[in-house]
This record gives sequence, C-alpha cells and structure tokens, in this order.
Amino acid sequence: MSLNPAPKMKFLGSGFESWLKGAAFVAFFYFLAMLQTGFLVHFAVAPAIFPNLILLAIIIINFLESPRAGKGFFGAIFGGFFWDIFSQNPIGFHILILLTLTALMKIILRKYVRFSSIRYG
Amino acid sequence: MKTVFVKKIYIAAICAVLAVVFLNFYQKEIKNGFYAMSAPIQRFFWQTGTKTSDFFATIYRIKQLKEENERLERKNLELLSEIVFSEELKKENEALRNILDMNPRKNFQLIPAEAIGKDIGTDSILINKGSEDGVFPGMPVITPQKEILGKISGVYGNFSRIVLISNQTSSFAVKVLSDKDISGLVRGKGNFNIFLDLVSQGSELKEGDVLRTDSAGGSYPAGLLVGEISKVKKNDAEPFQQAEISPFFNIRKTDVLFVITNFFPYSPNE
Repeated sequence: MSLNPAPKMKFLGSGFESWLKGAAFVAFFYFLAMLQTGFLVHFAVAPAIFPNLILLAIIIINFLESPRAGKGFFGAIFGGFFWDIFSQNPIGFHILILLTLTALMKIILRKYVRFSSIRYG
Repeated sequence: MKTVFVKKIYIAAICAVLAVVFLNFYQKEIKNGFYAMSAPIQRFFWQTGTKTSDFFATIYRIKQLKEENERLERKNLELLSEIVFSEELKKENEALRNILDMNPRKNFQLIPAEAIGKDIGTDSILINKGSEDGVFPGMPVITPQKEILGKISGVYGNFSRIVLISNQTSSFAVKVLSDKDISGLVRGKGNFNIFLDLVSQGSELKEGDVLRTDSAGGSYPAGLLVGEISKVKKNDAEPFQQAEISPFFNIRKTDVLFVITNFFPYSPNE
C-alpha cells in the first residue's frame, strides 16, 4: 500500500506568466469595484437590493476551482482590499472576512461536498 | 517538514498583520491616491449608469408618465401661487428686520461638488472635493433644489465621503411644512430609505405632508427639504407615531451637489 502525500496547494504557477495572471486578477477585482460603486448604484436587483459583485466573484471562484487551489485566497485578499478602499471601513476589515469565508468554503468543499459535474484542473 | 511549514505560516501571518497596520497608518493617503486614480473611471461609470437607468426607467414608466405629468402641472400651479405669497412674506420680513435693526439672514456659502461613486454596502457617497478645497467633517450637503442629502463624514486631500440621510447611523430633527407645529425625528433605514419617528400621537400627519429640517439638534440648518410622507403608521399602543417618507433626493439624478461651508453643527462637548 503506498501513501501519496497530499498535493501542495497551487497558486498561480510560476514565472512571468504567473505575474501576468496575478496582475489580471487584481485588475479584474479593481474593475468590479469600479462597476459596483459607479454603475450598479443606479440599478437594483429587487427594491432596495443591490448586488455585491466582489462577494459573488469570490464565491464563484471558490466553487469552480479545486478545494486545494489558492486563487480563492488571492481573490479574497484583493477583493477585500478594494472593498475596504471604497468603503468607510479600515483596510483589512473585509480582507479578513473574505479570507475567513474562503477558508470555510474550501474546508466544506474538500470534506463534505463534491460536485460530480465540475472537474478540477 | 511540518515545523518549517508552521514557521512559514507564522511568518506570513506576522507580515500580513504588519502590512495591515502600515496600510491603516497611511489609510487617508492611500485612499486619497486610489480615489484620485479612479475618479475619471468612476465618473464615467456613474454618468453611464445614470443615462442607462433613465432610459430603462422611461420605458418602464411610459404609462405612468402622462398621469404624473398632469399631477405635476397641477402642483406647479399651486406652488406658483405659494411663491407669490412667500415673496410678500419675505418683503414683510425684511422690512420688520430693518425696523427692529436685526441682523440680516446669512446666505449659505457653498462649494459645488460632483458625486463620483457610492460605497459598497453602506449609504455613503464619494465627492470630488476634500480638505484642500475647504471641506471639513460635519458640513451639510444639499442639492441645487435645497434638498438635504447628508453630511460630510470623512475628508481626504481631494475627496470626501458623505453619509446620506438614509444611512442607518443618520438621524436629525424635522418639522412638517404646514401651519401645524409638528416635529419629529427622521432616521435612516439603509438602501436610500428613511422614516419619521417620535411624532406625538396627538399630531395629525397625512400622506403628502412635506418635511423640512429643523435647527433643533443642530445637525443641519433649518428649512432644507427632506421628503414627503408616503404612509402614516399610527398605532395607539405605541407612544409615538411613525411614517414612511419618500426622500426628495435621488442619488441616481445627483449631478451637482453643494457643500455648505458656513454652517457648523452643534457639538455637545462645546
């Protein structure tokens, strides 16, 4: 019987490509924050309910990636950072909340929930 | 191996805490820099959002537009006659002040500003004027039609944050614009909603009553328009009446705002 060691958590890879992916990720969350604070203010999903794109993006990223992957944490840090920048809260407030949410989702998805229709890379 | 991993986690955690402390130490400068960088993009999104929502709102409300037009024409005529009456009262007031040698009423000193973004999750907006333009915390902000919008809560170099009157932390004294002496407290409910509270049970509130700010409490100057009562909630078991209010300010149609710089809110510590 052989014991395979648990695979290491993957982040964005290595080298120039990973920097490019990282920059694109940061730009994506920055764009979401701009859209949220400037454009979507004028639209409500239901009376007085406005969507929170950053939170939605974090949840979707965590659902679609492998529970061992690290993009969710990366997204939580930068999504939370831009959320704090464009709010009254001190920097770090929403970063902590989103990191906690991501960690909880990863634990639940790794131990208790599996989607047969989603194949992780 | 495990010890090395745990050590790395500890180092990462310490670095993260130090980074957060550093970022918060220079929070104002960092936020001001981001707002300066983002202002053109936010302004573009804000204006595009206004035009797009107006377009869809017009299509959605085509049926109601005719009725609303007729209602507004009637109201316009009523207001015109009230203006004439008010002009007479104003002249009489000025004359009496002269006779009694009273100081003339001060006009507001205003700084024009533009809304460029709304905070995520709270009822506060960002404007493009800051401490370098003479803006300070506590200054009231109004629309060109003298409707109260909120007050300055946070000031950066070139930008400021306005807490809207619909913010859940906001409350201020109001009076009903009529010959009845009815006063109450407007509180924010979030999501651009406000309600009237602490109105005595004996007062006769009715739908359509217009509310204006009262100088009691000292948050805002008196006489600024707040909103119209849309629904009265009277329960004899409660000590006070409440009412839902349709605020006059519309964040989606707010292009130019004015910061009142010569009104200083009352502070209990003074």
